[in-house]
Amino acid sequence: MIPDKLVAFVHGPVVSFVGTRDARLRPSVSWVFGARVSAASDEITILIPDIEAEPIKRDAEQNARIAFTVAGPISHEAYQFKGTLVGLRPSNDEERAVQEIHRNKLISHLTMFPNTLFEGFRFSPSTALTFRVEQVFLQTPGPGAGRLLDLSALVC
Amino acid sequence: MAVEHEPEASLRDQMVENQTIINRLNAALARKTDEVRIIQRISSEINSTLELDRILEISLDAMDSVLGFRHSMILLADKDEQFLWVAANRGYDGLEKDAAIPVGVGVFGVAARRRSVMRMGNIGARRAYIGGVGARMHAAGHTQLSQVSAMPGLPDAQSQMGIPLVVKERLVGVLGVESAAPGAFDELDEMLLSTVGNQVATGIDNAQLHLSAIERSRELDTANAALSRLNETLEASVEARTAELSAALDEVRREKALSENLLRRTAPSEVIPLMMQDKLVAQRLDVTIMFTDLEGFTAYSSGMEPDEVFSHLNEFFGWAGELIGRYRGYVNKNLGDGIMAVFGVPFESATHRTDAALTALAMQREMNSQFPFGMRVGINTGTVTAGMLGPPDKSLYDVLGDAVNIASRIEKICPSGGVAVSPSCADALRPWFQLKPLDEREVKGIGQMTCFNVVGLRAIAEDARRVDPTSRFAADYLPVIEEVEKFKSERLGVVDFISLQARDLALHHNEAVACYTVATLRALRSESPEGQPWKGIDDATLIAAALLHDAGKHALEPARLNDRGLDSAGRDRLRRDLMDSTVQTLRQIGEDRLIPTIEELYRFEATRGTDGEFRPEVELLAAADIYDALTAPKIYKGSPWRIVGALAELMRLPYCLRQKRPAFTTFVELMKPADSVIAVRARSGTLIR
Amino acid sequence: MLPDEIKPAMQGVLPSTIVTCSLDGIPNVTDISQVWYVDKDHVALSHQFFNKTHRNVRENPYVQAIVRDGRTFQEWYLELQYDHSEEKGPLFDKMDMELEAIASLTGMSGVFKLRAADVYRVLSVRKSRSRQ
Repeated sequence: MIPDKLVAFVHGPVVSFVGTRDARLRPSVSWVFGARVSAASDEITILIPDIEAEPIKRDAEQNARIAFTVAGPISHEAYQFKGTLVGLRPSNDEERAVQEIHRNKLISHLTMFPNTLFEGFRFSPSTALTFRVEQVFLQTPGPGAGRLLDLSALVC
Repeated sequence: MAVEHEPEASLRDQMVENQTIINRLNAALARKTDEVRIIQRISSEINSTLELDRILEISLDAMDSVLGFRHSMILLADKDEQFLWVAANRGYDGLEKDAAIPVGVGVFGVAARRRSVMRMGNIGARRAYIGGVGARMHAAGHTQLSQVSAMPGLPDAQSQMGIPLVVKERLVGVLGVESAAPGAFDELDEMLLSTVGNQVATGIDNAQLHLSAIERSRELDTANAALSRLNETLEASVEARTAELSAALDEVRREKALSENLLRRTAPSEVIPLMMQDKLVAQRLDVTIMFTDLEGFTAYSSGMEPDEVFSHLNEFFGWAGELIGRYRGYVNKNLGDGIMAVFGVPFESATHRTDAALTALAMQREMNSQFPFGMRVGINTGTVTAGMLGPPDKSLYDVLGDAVNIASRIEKICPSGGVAVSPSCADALRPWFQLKPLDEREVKGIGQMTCFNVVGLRAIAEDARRVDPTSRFAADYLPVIEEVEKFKSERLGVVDFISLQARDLALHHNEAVACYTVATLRALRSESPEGQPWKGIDDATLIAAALLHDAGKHALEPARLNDRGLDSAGRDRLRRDLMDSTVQTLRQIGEDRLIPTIEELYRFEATRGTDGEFRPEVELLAAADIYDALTAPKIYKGSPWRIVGALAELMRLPYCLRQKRPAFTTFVELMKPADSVIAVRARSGTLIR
Repeated sequence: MLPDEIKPAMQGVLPSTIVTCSLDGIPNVTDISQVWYVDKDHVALSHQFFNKTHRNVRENPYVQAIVRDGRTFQEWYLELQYDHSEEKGPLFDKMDMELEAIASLTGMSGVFKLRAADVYRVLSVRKSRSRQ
């Protein structure tokens, strides 16, 4: 089970990315803009802007390995989720709304940047990629960075 | 460039983007060229004073008004190199007096400790990141948090550049600029500030030496007075003792005289070590003397306040002094609003006549854009006696002889804006310069004399020893000359080709090589059926390589470049040193891509083409370079070759005897006089046309 | 291969994102302060910690990085291949001095150690399509 604290964090004003690799182990990375954690089933659906999603989709379908990071841009608190692809499809209207909310949260949070920060940033249309979380790592820089989190030990 | 663009980008978008890039590069280059000129001016201003406060003021003023760095400071190191004190600042609201930065703290402190230029554009981001890590480590019990006091300067500087000021291994201080914007400074800013930093470092060091020399002078004065008194009282007693003290007194007086001479910089810098060791004797030297006089200055300055007048004159003297120094002249004295400069002191020089003429031409050329008054120049060559002249504590390095007076009188008969030279001087200058005779005039002390006005350097196209008027080059390719000139001023404006070429009188050599190379390339392209390999050569790169192929000359001693007595080992060493220096220079001006071609060119010339095969560009460059070296007037090669002789020599190169070389044969075809045939007997006995 | 206009994105004003992959095929995403410009065909990353990124790259040298221009927010995708590490020299000194300067300002002198400057070859570079 993914702890509430982490779920709230992923749904907050975070900057996130997804990483995959192809059959020759060449890695690819892309922005993720918006995510929905299903805490109960340990699955996360991440919304990947189509404009750079091709390699990610191709890699995921080839080997199913997913790495997903979230980081607070000001606090530097960060986590990395690693797991296996469950499925992917074009995002629906609800998910588009999630992205709008995400954008607004980020803009409010990043007070030192102008409101036009994400103008022209093509986060939609996007692909909804769902993966099952198998490991979560602490990625906040400092003591313990890179540590595998024992999810059972964290409060759910 | 493997930069992918969006698949939908139209051709038009691509062209717009390319043009934007080109405009940006042109703007960057223009900025680079302008700012290099500005830096030269700043450096001459700094060198014009020995007062520390004034130097700091000039430097920071230049930081702001000229280079656009709004917040700047000069920090001076304490004796133990532990702290940096803010000695001067600009662009701050009330910087704390006596503010200090410990060496090793922050960008300025680390630049000082490591004696290395440092530039950062992301200070805020990094502080936040590292600070965050530190806080978490502290929370986890790993470290103590230590307090760091605020640094003097902008409270939240995002970008900073620190240039350490080091003179002769001593840390003088740091020149620092900062900005509240991230990524505010780029590599060009770093380069410019480093260059200014060097000037400032030397200026500050001189000022500090000056201050300590004044101290020392005062100490010597006191010692001098004490010894004098002692001398008087003991005079009545033992004679030997008296003699001893007299000698000590002389020693003190001489040391004082020497250090005061250093203060006043009254001799060419090469002379000072000789002076210190008392080795300076008067000599007879063959030199060229130049007198300048400003026209219309009195009228221009009438009604001005005295300090305004002096400010204008000093600006002129600073600018002129820098130009004279660039051509290795020595400013002997200022006479009112005129200058007397001597070329060829304190050591014999092979190029003093042309150096003087080129200096005068450069001054006249730039006068109009720099100052609102005109100038007359008089130049004469002759033998003078040179040495320290004047009372013991006021002597300066001076020259005596009739040649000096004649130069002064020639200046009086010079036409406005011209450069007048004596008949003997004109004879020496004629191979390189265009001269117009002036009216015969009575020159006091000599009698009737026809002097000449130096109009300018001979154009390549008009120099029949280099370009035969009946050749195909003269008929079809003269427009290339203008193309090369345009390229030179637009792309390589930072290089002063004339002053480079003046060192061994290879005047217009680089331009000639560029013109011949490009003309031959184009002739080859039109002749060969598929245009290969000539089609694949980039004109601009070839021109750049030709213009810069010996740019390293600036670092070699003119005496070495002009040495007639070099044997082949000596020539090889010189060629190698020139190549190394050129490669270094190319790196400095960002033309690294030309290095492989130029190294291969030197290999060709070192081996006369026996060492393997060479790239087509190198063949073209070698043909042009060797041809111009033979046909242009020089010092170390005696009289120049005739054109047909030079072309035949090209065909005799081992490289050309081994097999047919289209680059060389086309070059010969292009440059030869219309009615001539270049015949060379090859080893196999067949004739080659 | 690197155009001059990418240089502002390599000043560390905005962090960069990099993805690596272990030999057993697990990708790893992280962000770093700065990708350093070395020359037209090389970039460098500072090696301070023996972390997952470091271990991955030593097994599998292929890396993808996104660098960002702090002023225009333009992003660039770089494909890199780890080439070699330098433990001394001008590149190392540059990184080390930066670390020294920032550590001294935050009271953390001596805490961070630069182990090496890791030099990568640039295999490809392109502008991100995400921004208009």
